[in-house]
Amino acid sequence: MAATDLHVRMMNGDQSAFAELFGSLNSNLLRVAMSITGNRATAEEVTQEAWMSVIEKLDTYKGDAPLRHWILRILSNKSRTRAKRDGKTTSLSPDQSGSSDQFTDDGEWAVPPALWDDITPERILSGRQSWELVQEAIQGLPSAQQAVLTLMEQENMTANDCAAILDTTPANVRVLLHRARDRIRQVIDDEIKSQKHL
Amino acid sequence: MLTCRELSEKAQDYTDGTCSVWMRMRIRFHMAMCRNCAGFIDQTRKTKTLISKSLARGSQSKVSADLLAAFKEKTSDAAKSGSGGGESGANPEAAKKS
Repeated sequence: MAATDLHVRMMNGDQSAFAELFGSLNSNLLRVAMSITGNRATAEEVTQEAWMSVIEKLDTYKGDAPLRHWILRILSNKSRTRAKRDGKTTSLSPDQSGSSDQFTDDGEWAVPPALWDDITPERILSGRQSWELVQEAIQGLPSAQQAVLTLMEQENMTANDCAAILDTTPANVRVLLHRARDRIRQVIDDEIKSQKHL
Repeated sequence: MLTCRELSEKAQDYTDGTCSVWMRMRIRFHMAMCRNCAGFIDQTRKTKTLISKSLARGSQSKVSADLLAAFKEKTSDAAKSGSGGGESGANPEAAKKS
């Protein structure tokens, strides 16, 4: 359902529309709040405050941006205000851990990647346990990388919009995104290699 | 010719479709001769799909009774004052963006 339809339903007092929006967006808000405040309990408080603001300001939404992005901006402002008040500054700089040891000095593969040709990851990861593996890998990422993955892969934000939400640069967002995806790829690859050896 | 390391650094731009035409050609040329890098690009593409599906699967939350009560109160207030409902807050342009 389009976000605008949800908005109209909510303006008409439809509680199921609000529950639907909350259900699909709340965990994403939490991830973003975590990356800005750096604290789980604070992130939960700020997210709750953001939802209260959304309810209060619902009639001011004009549709200039998708409803979900409008809510994410409210959350971002609240999280940044809270982090500033608490004297917290969470670094969104990408960590320096890379995969340089995978290559020789000549730039060739030192440890060739496993070939997934004969394997469909969707098939291997079709069991609940395996989906949990990917979700755990995402949860194990630094909070800034989780936030970028959420905003760009799930909320379909551009690097510019994502940078505005997280108060960083689009270039930094792209580095964080690449690091996050590469980490998940490594986790899946390790799982596939271990299954091949069974 | 690109090295394998250089290709790995451009792999996500390639699968996202954000690298230049010239770089796409160089990557395809390299992949035609390097099975490892073709495999790496395949991994990168499949990982992107798995991340999206995984995020979508694990994201459902249940709204609290407190928030639902606040929503009910706000929307019933708005209805009483005549500012709620209908298309008043919605912009038809948003439907195209949503």
